[in-house]
Amino acid sequence: MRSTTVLPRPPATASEVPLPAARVVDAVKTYGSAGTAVQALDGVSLDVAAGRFLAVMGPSGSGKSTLMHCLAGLDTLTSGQVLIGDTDLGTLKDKDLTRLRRDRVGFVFQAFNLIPTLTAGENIELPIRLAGRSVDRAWLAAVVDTVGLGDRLDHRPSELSGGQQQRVAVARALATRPELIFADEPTGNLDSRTGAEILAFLREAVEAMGQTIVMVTHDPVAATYAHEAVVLADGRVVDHLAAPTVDTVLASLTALGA
Amino acid sequence: MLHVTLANLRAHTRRLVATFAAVALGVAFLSGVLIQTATLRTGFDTLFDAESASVDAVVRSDRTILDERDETIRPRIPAALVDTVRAVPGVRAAVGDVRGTAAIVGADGDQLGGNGPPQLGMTWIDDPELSPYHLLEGRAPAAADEVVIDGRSADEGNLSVGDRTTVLAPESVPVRVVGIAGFADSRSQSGVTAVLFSPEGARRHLGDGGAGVDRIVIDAVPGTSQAELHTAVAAAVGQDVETLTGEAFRLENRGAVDDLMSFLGPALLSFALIALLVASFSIYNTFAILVAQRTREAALLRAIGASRRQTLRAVLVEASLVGAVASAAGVGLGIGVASLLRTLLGTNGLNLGNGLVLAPATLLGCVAAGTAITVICALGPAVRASRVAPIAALREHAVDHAGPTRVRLGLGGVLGALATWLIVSGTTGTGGMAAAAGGVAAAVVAVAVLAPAVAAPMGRLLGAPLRLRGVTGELARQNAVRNPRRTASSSTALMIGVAVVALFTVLGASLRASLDQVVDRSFAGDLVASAGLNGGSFDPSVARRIAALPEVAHAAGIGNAPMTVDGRPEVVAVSDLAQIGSVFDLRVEQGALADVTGPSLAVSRSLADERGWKLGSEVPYTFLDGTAGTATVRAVYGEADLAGDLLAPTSLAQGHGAPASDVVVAIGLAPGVSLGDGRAAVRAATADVPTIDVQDRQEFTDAVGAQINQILLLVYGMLALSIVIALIGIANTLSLATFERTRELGLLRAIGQARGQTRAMVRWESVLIAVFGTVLGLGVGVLGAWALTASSSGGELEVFAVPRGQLALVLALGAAAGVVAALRPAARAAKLDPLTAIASA
Repeated sequence: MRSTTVLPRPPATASEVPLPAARVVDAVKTYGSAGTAVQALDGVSLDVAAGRFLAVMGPSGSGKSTLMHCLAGLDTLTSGQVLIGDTDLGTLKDKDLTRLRRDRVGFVFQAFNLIPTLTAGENIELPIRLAGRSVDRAWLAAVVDTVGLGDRLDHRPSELSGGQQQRVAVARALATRPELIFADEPTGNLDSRTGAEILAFLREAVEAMGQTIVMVTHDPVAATYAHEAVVLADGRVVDHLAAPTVDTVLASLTALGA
Repeated sequence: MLHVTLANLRAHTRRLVATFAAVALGVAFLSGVLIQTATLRTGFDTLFDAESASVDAVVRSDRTILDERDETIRPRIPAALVDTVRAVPGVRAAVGDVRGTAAIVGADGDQLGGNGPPQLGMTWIDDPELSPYHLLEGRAPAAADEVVIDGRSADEGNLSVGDRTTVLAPESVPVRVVGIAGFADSRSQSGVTAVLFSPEGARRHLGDGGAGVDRIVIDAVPGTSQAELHTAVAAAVGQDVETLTGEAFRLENRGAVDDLMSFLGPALLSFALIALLVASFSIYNTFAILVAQRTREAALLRAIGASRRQTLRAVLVEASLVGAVASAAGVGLGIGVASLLRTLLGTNGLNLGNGLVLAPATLLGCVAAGTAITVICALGPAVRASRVAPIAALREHAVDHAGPTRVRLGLGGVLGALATWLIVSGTTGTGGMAAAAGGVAAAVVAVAVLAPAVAAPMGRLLGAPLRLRGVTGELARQNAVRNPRRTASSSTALMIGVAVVALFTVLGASLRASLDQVVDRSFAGDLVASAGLNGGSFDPSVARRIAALPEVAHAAGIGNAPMTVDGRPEVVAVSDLAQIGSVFDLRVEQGALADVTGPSLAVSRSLADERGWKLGSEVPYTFLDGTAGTATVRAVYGEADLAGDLLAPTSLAQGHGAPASDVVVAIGLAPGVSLGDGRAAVRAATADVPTIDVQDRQEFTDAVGAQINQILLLVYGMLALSIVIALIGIANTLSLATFERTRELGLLRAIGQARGQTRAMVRWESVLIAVFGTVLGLGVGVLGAWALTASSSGGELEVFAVPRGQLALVLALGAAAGVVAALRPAARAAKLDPLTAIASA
């Protein structure tokens, strides 16, 4: 019987072989009922290595967003298993899933990442304050410094540019020191220069802070910031690229169409 | 475009539920009031018609005077005139009717009725053409101590034929019930208790033993018209009396119904209008939010070629459909409301037992009114929808963030200035209560207009304590002020209801405090004996008996004598003025009360100033029976709040047409006698008059306070529906906001907000909106009560008292109402699946 506690795993020591930050085993997700059923995930297995930046790629309808939602505890599998650390998400109730998202996972969405009524600073602190914990000022200062938002903390989202809003979202995701950060097309709404900045921040978070990040994207350029990339098509993993480049990604995606 | 409208209606049914409810409830109240008013009116008309249905002519005195309740009273006419009338050709029958007030004492020793409708003593008329009363059991009264009573009094008093009991007319008369009578088709005339004496009994007990009758009722021989009869009778009876046809008499009675309804109708209607006003805020708000949410849809329609007019019409057609269906449902509910009102009024003796009067014109009018209000409320939002530029379809979903406009601020400022000017003029200048009332009305409108301007700062201020609830409270506070116009209009609806509640609550407390102060200041005695607060009267011998008690030092019986003084009708308090100074502190400024004997008067300073009288002035007076004379002003006093403006010695008024009775005996106890002993002695001495209640100061003011509370309860009951409508409005605003913030709620849930936190967030937002409305309402209501109190010329409202506890309770109830209003929207927000919410981009 698996543990259903949602406590953070104990820190890995250098001598241990690091456990994967998350695992997906034989994930199947079916939408709709018998006649009109759509198979969004069709037996996906995947390890998300700790301290690495993983890009999940694939064309529209390939199941990459569904995979991320299931990994993040926003959606449940029809069959199969998702583990964050050693916690099996399938055994968690809604309340525990909420706490898992709050305490162990961070999110960066494509758009509408921030609460419009709160300032940038308040948005960053939001998950910590929802948990009712006290804010670690030193860590927060470091995060804010990394994303370069020092002079913008008192502004509301409507007073920030799209790039600044995404930087606030990244800072919020980092603020709780989660085991995993999920980024869903984080640069989809940005111009390429601003997008590149955000991607550089994400990579920096992995390199400098040891963060684990899973990013869903269909942009081959974005994927090049990741350590590795998996390519999904029709709910299955069809390719696995280490140190992806624009060329290898394009080749892999083009092979799908052929 | 009609199919677009219909598709919209189908798609957004849930969102229109609140509008539907607001319109339906408002119309239900309106139609309920109108149905009930018409029902009462018809009931009264039938009743008064039945009372004199077959009477062809009436003869009575032509002299009238108004009594203390502004009712017309007439002196009696000589009984000998009955024979004169009987001799007139064309008269089949003529009977003299002697009437008076006579309460029946039931088998349990308590009087029957007396809480509104009259307690009538009448002459038994053994002629079905001339009297609606007919025997159900027993026989007609023959001896002077035999009576017939009405069926309901017999039932309620547990009296049957052969029983002995007492009638208070107003002196105690031992009687034997020999018959029980029905009134027209029922067992009694609604609410009225009737005791019918033989002609001799009536003359002796109701007519003070004199040979007078109140009126002569006449039936014509078949074939003689009322006009012919009138001419013949009028010629025969001569001067000092007037003759009316039966028809004219019935019309006059109907006029009395008009008087009653002209107060009751508008009073009920004003509460219905408040409900509709509150409903209109809810309707406006719903359409404003719906239109804001559909900006993209409207823009898309415009982009693909819909004209402005078509966009406008689409919203208006939607509004009229919702308005018409909801109004029709409201009229259906209104029938239920009318029944409810009937029960409510029935406790005050105003249920006449007739069926509800459903006039098609009234019902259709209510449907039309409800539809019109809905369309008018939707007009502003509809115009805004039609002004959407087609390009908005391509932009990011625009949320209505509009704050106060310049026009609004200007209009609010002007209204505020007008309100201030009117209130200042009413309270310090010459404007009086009318100006102050106008100022209060202007202040309500000004607050409603300016509410969006203060919603944000006030919401932040009132919401400051929410910070203690952590980030959830902070989010709630921010949500409540993010759209000031919306918050303002949903809380304004509540503000109106609360303002009226606060106004009446403070006025009630002020009335009570004023009474306490007046009693403290001007009542020098210890006890008061009275026959209830509704002006029941009793025999003057009661005062003499009380005065003779060893425990009592002073006792002054006070009665009322309607008379004309210096050409104007006045109600003069009649008493033994040598005694009255020991129980009332009248603050005599000139002359002395002891000098007011014989043809003389004591007058208050204010009346003396008004009429130009001075000590020694000779003032002409006329009594009801025509006796005229001149009285000298022998004393001028300053304190008129309890005793009234004119005092006359008993000897002046005795035997001049006014019934010799007291309404109150003011008692000063002998030194050393405790309140308890004094009260016991007075009670023992008046045990034979069960209507008399003996109270000390505290009990007296408490009794008046209880009456004030009863009126307040009625007012609260009438306002309950308005408050409910306002709450539906708040709930609806929250629901629509929840819908609008779906993605935001999804985001919060995704990054870790627990369901309970989501619920709390919506709940606190609701509480904040409700508290904002309640605080505005309390402010306006207290200001209004202050303005009315300060502008009133003393008298019943000389003290302004703020009942802090009660107002704090209103505030707490307002906050609790916010919790209730949030129940459904909060549950729905918490149920949102974060994934769907995020995906609904």
